[in-house]
Amino acid sequence: MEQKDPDVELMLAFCAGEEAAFDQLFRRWAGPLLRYLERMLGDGALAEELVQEAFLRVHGARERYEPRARFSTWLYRIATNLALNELKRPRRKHVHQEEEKSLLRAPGPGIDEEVASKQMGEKVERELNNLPERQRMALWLSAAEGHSYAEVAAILETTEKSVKALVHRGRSALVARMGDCAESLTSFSRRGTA
Amino acid sequence: MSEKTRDRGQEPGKREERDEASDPSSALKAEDDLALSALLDGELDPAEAEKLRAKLVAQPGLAERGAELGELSGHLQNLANPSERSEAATQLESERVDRMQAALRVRLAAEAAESQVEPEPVAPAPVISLGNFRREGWAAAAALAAGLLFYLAFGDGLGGGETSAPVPSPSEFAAAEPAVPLAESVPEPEPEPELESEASPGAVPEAREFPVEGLALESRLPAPVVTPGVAESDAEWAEINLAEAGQEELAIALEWEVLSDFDVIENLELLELLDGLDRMERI
Repeated sequence: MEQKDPDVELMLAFCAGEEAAFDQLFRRWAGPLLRYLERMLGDGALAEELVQEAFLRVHGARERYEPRARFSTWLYRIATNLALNELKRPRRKHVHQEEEKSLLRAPGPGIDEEVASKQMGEKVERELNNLPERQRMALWLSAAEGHSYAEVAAILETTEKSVKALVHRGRSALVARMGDCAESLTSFSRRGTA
Repeated sequence: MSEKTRDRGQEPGKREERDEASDPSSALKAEDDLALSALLDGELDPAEAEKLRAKLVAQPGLAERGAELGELSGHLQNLANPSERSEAATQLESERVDRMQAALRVRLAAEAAESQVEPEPVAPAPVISLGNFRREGWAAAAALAAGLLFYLAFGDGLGGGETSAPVPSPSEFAAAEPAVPLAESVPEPEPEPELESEASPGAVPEAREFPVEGLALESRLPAPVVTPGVAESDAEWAEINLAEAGQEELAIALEWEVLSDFDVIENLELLELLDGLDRMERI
């Protein structure tokens, strides 16, 4: 590793017996990991369970941890494998957390553009869940969370070239599926401003 | 979002293959599309990025496509980045993280406790063969029945909890019994242990000294029958006549018969009482 990853430093501190470092890592990564797993699984409760499970694995690996990659890459790989295992199982009924979704969707005070943007965001969220799982994972990790292709390749255990293709296909499919929504929103926006 | 780009995006893989076959320029378009995606993700090397930017200026269609893909990336980043979300949503997520952390701590503590506790060797369950049950089972059953009768008859009258040991429960009897092997062989009966050595000095009353409750029991026995030739010290015990004995005494007698088959008798008062009854019976 060329640059020092602060999370790797924390993990090494935890390996040296500093329990607080583990708590810090959890506080730092539990939220993003939860959002990622929620997108992948479509089930908030299950995502919470897997976040805990992923950190249990991290905790259990303290004796044999070697900083070969960024901490987040390693953590996301654990979480991705857990999620893929979960997705292989007979489909659970997805629990939609309407409460949270309603909070996420809460529109601003009567601004048409903001409303249109929020509706578009909702559409992206819905359509994202309809993508094939590896496209969804690659697109989310890369475009939404900003992981490099190399990191995504390490997380998904594939090549950078495949990640590039996965991200592109996912992005193209999503843009196409959102076409109708965009047109309807454009017309809505025009009506609003007229 | 244009019709053209929507057509291109609906089934990207297949459509691109068809386009490449029918239109030689479409291969370049697919390549540009891929490059646009990489550019948005910051994965294009500087030289390629510069080349693509020049194309974007020259080709308005490509620029429009780039804008669409860029808009999508913006929406995805909004979904991922809590700072773009409402305060309430961020608060909710923070609460969820707290909850998860608390649950994780519990799980880690449980795992740590589990790893510290050595697994106890599991004792084999006692196996009672039918042959042994025919020989010994009646005794256990009778002992239980007698114990129950004795308890019902005297209740708390004997001992008051401090000096007299409680009537052993069925599980205690079971615990006192050695595990019987599946084989039909009957184990040799072990010699009766020394009572004095088993009982703790503080818990055992002096021999022949009955507690107040014991005297109360004595007064409830039938009238004494004096038998000539019996030593005076034993006369007290020989006074009980089974013919005149009530239900309680019979229960005691029965229990004595049964308990004599067992190695461990904890209630010394009861033992002494039963001993007297036994001697009387022999006379």
